[in-house]
This record gives sequence, C-alpha cells and structure tokens, in this order.
Amino acid sequence: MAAAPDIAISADHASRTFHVPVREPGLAASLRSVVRRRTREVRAVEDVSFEIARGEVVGFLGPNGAGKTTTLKLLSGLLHPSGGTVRVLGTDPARRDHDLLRRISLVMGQRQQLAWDIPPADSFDMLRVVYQVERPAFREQLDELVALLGLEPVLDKPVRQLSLGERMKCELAAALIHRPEVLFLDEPTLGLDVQAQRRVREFISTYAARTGATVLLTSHYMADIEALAERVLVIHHGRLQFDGALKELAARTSDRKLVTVKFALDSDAGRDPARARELAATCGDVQDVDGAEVVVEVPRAEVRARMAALLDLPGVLDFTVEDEPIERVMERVFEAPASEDAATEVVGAEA
Amino acid sequence: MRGMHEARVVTAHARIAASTELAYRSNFWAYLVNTVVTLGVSIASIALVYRHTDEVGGWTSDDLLVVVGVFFALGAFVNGVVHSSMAKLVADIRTGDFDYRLLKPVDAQAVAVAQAPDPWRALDLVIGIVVIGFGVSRGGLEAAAGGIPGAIGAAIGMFACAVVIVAAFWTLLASITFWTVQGEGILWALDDMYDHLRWPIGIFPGGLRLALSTIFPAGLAVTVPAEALTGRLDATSVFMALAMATALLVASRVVWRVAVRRYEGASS
Amino acid sequence: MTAAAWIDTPRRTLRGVFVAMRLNVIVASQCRVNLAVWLVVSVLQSIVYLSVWQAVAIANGGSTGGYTPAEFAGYFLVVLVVQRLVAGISIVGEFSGYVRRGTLSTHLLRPLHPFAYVFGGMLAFNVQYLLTLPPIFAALFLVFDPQMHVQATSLAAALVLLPLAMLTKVMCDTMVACTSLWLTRIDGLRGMYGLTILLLGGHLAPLPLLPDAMQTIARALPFYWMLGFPTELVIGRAQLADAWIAVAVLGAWSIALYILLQPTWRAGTRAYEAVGT
Repeated sequence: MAAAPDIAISADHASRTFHVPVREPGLAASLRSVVRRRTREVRAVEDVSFEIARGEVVGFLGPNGAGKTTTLKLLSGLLHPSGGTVRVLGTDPARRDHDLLRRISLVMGQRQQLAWDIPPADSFDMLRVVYQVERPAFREQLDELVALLGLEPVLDKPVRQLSLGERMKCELAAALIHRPEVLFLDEPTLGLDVQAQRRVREFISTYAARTGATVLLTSHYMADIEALAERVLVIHHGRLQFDGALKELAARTSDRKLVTVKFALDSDAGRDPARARELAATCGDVQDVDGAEVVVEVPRAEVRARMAALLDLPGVLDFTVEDEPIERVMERVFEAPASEDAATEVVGAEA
Repeated sequence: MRGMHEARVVTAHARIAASTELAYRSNFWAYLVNTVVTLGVSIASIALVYRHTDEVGGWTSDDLLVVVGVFFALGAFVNGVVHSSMAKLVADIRTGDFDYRLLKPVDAQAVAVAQAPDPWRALDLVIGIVVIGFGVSRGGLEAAAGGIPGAIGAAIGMFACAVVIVAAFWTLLASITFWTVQGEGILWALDDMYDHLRWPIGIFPGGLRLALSTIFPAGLAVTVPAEALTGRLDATSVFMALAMATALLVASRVVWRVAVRRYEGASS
Repeated sequence: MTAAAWIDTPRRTLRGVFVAMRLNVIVASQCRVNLAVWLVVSVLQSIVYLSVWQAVAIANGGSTGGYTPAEFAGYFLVVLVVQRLVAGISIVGEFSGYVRRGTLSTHLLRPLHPFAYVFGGMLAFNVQYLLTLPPIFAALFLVFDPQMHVQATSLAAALVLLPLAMLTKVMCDTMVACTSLWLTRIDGLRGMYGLTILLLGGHLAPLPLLPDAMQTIARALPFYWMLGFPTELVIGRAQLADAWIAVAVLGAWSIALYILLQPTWRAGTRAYEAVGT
C-alpha cells in the first residue's frame, strides 16, 4: 500500500503477539521449567489501523498494558509487527533504515538515553556525531531548545545530579537535536510535578507548532492530552476502540451530562446540605454535595426535561451543564471487560 | 563512507567514557593491584611447572613469558574495551535503554563492542609489552623467514587477528543476552575462562587444542602472536587465525541480526 | 538502621537461607544458557591445568611428583567436583556487588541477613550445577581414563568433610566480603584471595608438587584442607588418619572466623552507614 505523501504515520491491520514464558510459582515448578518451558501467547496489539497526517498532534490513550507502548515500538521500528504493516514517512520502520532514523525520534518517560555520569552538554554533542548534524545547525537547534526549555543552568552538571524534571527536559532536548519530523512520546510527563508537567506540555506544543512535526504521544494524564491533542486514539486490550476528536470521544462514550445546581444561601437548601441533596435527587443521581452546590448526573437524552424540573425547585439560584470529565469517561470505558480473550495459552517447549 | 561514520561515533563514545573514567582516580590503584596479582599468578604458575621440567611441549619458560605478555596485552582489549562495553550493553538491555541505541542511525553492533572503553586498562597493555620484551630478550627472538622485522610484523598481524577473534566471540555470546536477560553471568564466566589461558594451545592434546581454537577461541588468540615471536608460526596457525577471525566476524554479525530481530525490549 | 546481628538464631538463619535458595533457583532456572556457559567454563579450566601437568609428566618420562598422566587425570577430575561444591560461587563477588550498586541498603532492611541471602543463592546454583554434572563427569571420565584408588572409608570421610569445608569457605568468604563495607573496590584483595585459594588450595597443582615452604603454609591455612585434601582422600592418596587434622584445622578456622565476624560486621555496617548511598 503506497501511503499518500501527506500521511506521516500509518498502521494497517497491525498486530503484535508476544510469547512469554509462564513462570509458575514454587520450587518444583521452576525446576521443571529448566527442562520444559511453558509459554503463553499474549496479543499485545491486535488489528490496529489508523493514519496520521503530517503536522498532526495525536494523543494515544489507554490503561496500563493496553498496548500503547507496543504500538509506539512498532511505529518506531523497535518491534516487528507479527501481522499487518506499519509505515512511517513512507517506509517500514522495522528495517531501521538510517535515513528514516534521522527523521524520527522516540522519548520514553521511564527510560533514559543521557549518560548518567556526564553533563547533558556532552551527551548532546555525542548525538550530534551520531546523527551527523552539521555544527552550525546543531548550535542553532541546541540554542533554541536550551532557550525554550530553560536548560542553561543544568547543561554542565552531571545528569545524576539533576532533578527528575530537569532530566526529562534534557531527555526531550536530546531527542530533538536532529530536528525529527516525527516524534513519538511515551509518557513524557511521568512522575513530574504539576508545574514541570505543564512546562513540558507547553514545550511540546510550541515545538510542534514551530517545526510542523508530527507528534504521537501517550500519557496517563488527561491534562496532557487535552492540552496538546485535538485527535485521540483509544486503545484497550490491544484493540483500537476509538479514533477521532477528543470532544467527540466524550460525546460518543458518555450518555450523561453533569448538572451543577447552586442554591441560594438564604434558602432552606442553601442552609442545609441534606435538604439540598434531597431536593436535587428528584432530578437525577446526586454525585457530590459541596455546601449549597450539588452535582447531579442526568441522562443526555433527558437533559431538557430535567432542567425544567430543576428550575422549579425552591431556592435554585443558578446551574451549569457540562460533559462528564474525560477521566471519568475513560475510567468507565476501561473498566469494561475485554470483548474476547486477549490471551490464549499455548503449552510447549520453547524454541 | 559508512564505516567512517561508525568510527567517528565510536571515537566520540571512547572520548566520553575515558573522561568519565579518568575522573575516578581510585580505580587506577584498584586496577594496579589487580594487574600485579594477575601477573603474580602467571609467574607463580609458570615457576611451579618449570620446577619439574625444562620444556613443556617444546616451550621453554622464556617462551611462556612471551605467551603471558600476549595474554596481558590482549587482556587489555578483552577487559578494557570488549568486556566493559558488553557489560554496558547487557545492562542497557536489562533496563530497556538499549531501545535508544537501536533508534540511532549508526551500526548498533559496531558501537556496542567499543562503547565503553576503560582507559586504566591500558596499563595491562604496557605490562604485556614489557613482559613480552623480557621474555624475548631472555629467549632470543627466534625469527623464521623474514628476520626480526618479519617476526614483529607477523606478531602484529596475528595480534590484530586475535583482537578480532575475541571481540567477535564476546559479541556473539553477549548477543545471547537478547534471549536470556542475565547476560552478565556469561560475561563473568568468559572473563574467568580467559584468566586461565596463559598457556600456548600447542602443549594441549588434540581435542582440547581444537576446543580452545574453536569453542573458546581465546586460546588460539593468545597463542598465535606468541608463536610469531618465538619462531613457531606456521601456515596452519596463520590459516586457523585468519579463518577463525573471518568466521567469527560473520557469525557474530548474523547472530546479532537475529537477536535484534527477536529483541522485544524490557517490558515497560 | 541498626546493624543486624551477624546471625540471630541458627534456626531463623537457616530458614532464611532456604527462602533465598528457593528464590534463586526460581530466578536461575530461567537462564539455562547461563548454566551451560558456567559448566563449560568450569570444566575447561580444570582440563587446562590437567593438560599442562600431563604434558609435564610426559616430558619427565612418565611421572611428576609421583603422579602419572592418568593419576593427574584422576586428581583434576575430582578436584573439579570438589572445587565446585565447596567454592562454586564466591560470596565475595556478589556481596561487594551489593555494596557497589547500593542495593545493600535494601537487603539490610529485610528481615533476612544479607549473607544468608547470598549464601542461599550459592547453594541454589550448586544444586542446579550438580544436577547437570553427572553426564559431563561421565564423559570426561571416558575421555581422560583417569586412574584412582577409591576406598569406601576414605570416600565416606571425604563426604563427611565436605559440609565442614563448605562452612569454612563461607566463613572465609564472608570475612573477605566484609572488607567491601570499608573499601568499595576490593578487586585487588579479591584477586589475591582467589590466587591464594588457587595456589595453596590444590586447584592449580596437587600439594606435593609445591615447594616445601609453600606446602607448610598451605597446611596451616584452611584452603588445602577444604579442596586438595578431600580430593586426595577420594583418589586414595591421603591418609585416613589425617582427616582428623582436616577436621581440627577447618573447625578451628571456622570458630575463629565466626567469633571475629561479629565485631567486624557490626563495625562494617556502621562504616557503610556513615558513607551512605
């Protein structure tokens, strides 16, 4: 399949299966496994198809073990697909063609590529040699990254002395030294405090806007995705569950709205939270009571009718209608059991 | 063109590794003690054997000093370049940082073999050359055809073969790490084994000689340069050294490729 | 963090060792390649020394120091097994690794003495090693056609001596390992320790081949009695009566080291804590 020139990333029925040794607990079982090893087949990614256009910033959502990292590894060429094809910038990434490698980058929040004992500046220079970046272009790119990320004070400190946030920023800079056109980010804000998370987020957004790079990022933090990506892919149990705009995701997967009712402080309900709860309960499921404010959940189809009823309640001062927060939507989606067995057991001697 | 790029990357790595390692000056003393101890074992075991005889398989004690010298000089590469780099490779595979190595537009195997040289080990090279010089000066440089320059030239050529043999063999076994994630044990085992190869393989019975030329070719690698310096190098040895260097280079390349294909990364 | 007593109660320590052993068997059994490489290495090592001495014996017209080539084969094949059983994996390397990598702190927090953990690992490896040894030993037996004079009583004495030999080795190792609490790099000391065992323990050559002065030193140290002597018992070259000397020497060293270890461990952990990681 020849991808259209404006398609940066595509997956066509991509699957990846792992054979993991089954480690049964206990001494006898371990000794047995010296001779004969049982393996289990785990389908980490199954029949995933999507296309991402050049310059798009796409969020990749899913709980732990859903297949996000596996997909990113398939796309960056670290893994060969066991079925289907993936293409990045028109080539098969698993060939690890050096020309392609010079145009992409992968950042993994829980891995590091900077050498521990030396200052980041030395690692950056190392990467210049590896990626064969000309010195002037390197200087220019590095200056820009240093300015954007505020790295000046840490450039000459050994990496082991940096804080997690500083290290992550350096990791990002390291991944961008060669101005990649396609950027894969796997949990880039993992473990960072709120402020550092925001800075990293802002940086990624600025970088993508400035360079027109295509970005695919996974994150645990909905805030990352909401701030950066208009389009999201949702993967669960190895299968692609949703591909579309973030807003649409909420609309599609959630059949409820949240209505926040505010009672006047001098009304009965405003003085007595129990009374407020009692009143609000007549219009929907009460989610939360906070003083004179009550949050009720209302089926999307009945919002009109329920609002009318709400307005008739004594002491109602004001109310707002909102979509369910995306975290809550995702939680519900991900709690659902797998549609079919994701793993089948195969017993046999290991090759 | 492409080889040049690899060479440049390896040099850049070596520079960084060297500047890092040179910062820990206490390591120098640790290595010094270690080297002196190893030299002690070598000389003690030679002295012990030659208490009971003047020649073993045609080798005199002076000839054996030459072998010990080669053992040290080659050991500088085995321990100072190959082992330390492989240890880093194994560690990177365990932590998953090896993922990054694969994503770089440079031959990952070439870099993996030489990425973390340990500059202090150059000490072993110096000691090795001194011991070789000592052994040769006592026993006399027995040059076959080509006189003394010929013997030295042949020795350098054979030493280059020896370096290729050990580097390729170590990579071959470290690639096994891709299958078993406890590769460090293999590296220590190889080191342990190398430590006992201070004997020319010619003195061993046929089967063992073959094993130390093929299954564990470090024996061959230690022997051939010493043969060149003691007038023993014959066509068979030269052929064996060249053949093993070529075969191992090809094999390590193939196994590396297969291993990388099967590499699945440390689970996140 | 207070320094745990070197050994709390024998029963609890023993239970700890077994827990560690189980854990290690489980870890190690996943790595068959490792085991295979270790097997080849240990076998090759002994064969190298055996071949050197056989060559010497042949050069001397048939025997050296009272050993014919076939008798050398007997000695080295048995020493291979004894050496693995008694000194299979050195606690020193493992433990100094803990200190260097900073994982010792984790181990100090566990309700199990770090040495018990390392020791359990060593036992576990030896168990697996022994399971794979018989076929290899049989093959070596066929190839080298060794000559030995095995007597039931001497063999039994050697078997009884082995646990004591192992215990003494553990005590020696632990003492050396404790030094890594002060010195983070003990490569040199470790090398020296290994050299002493190799040379004076009888791994490099049977004791009668050493110069007299070294033989005297070897008899005063525990290493010959834990390696060379049991080997000589098995192949019928040692006096059965000397087994009592072995018990006395090994026992004395074990007790002395055990007593010495208590303050050493306490002082060592305190020194380690002072540096911190």
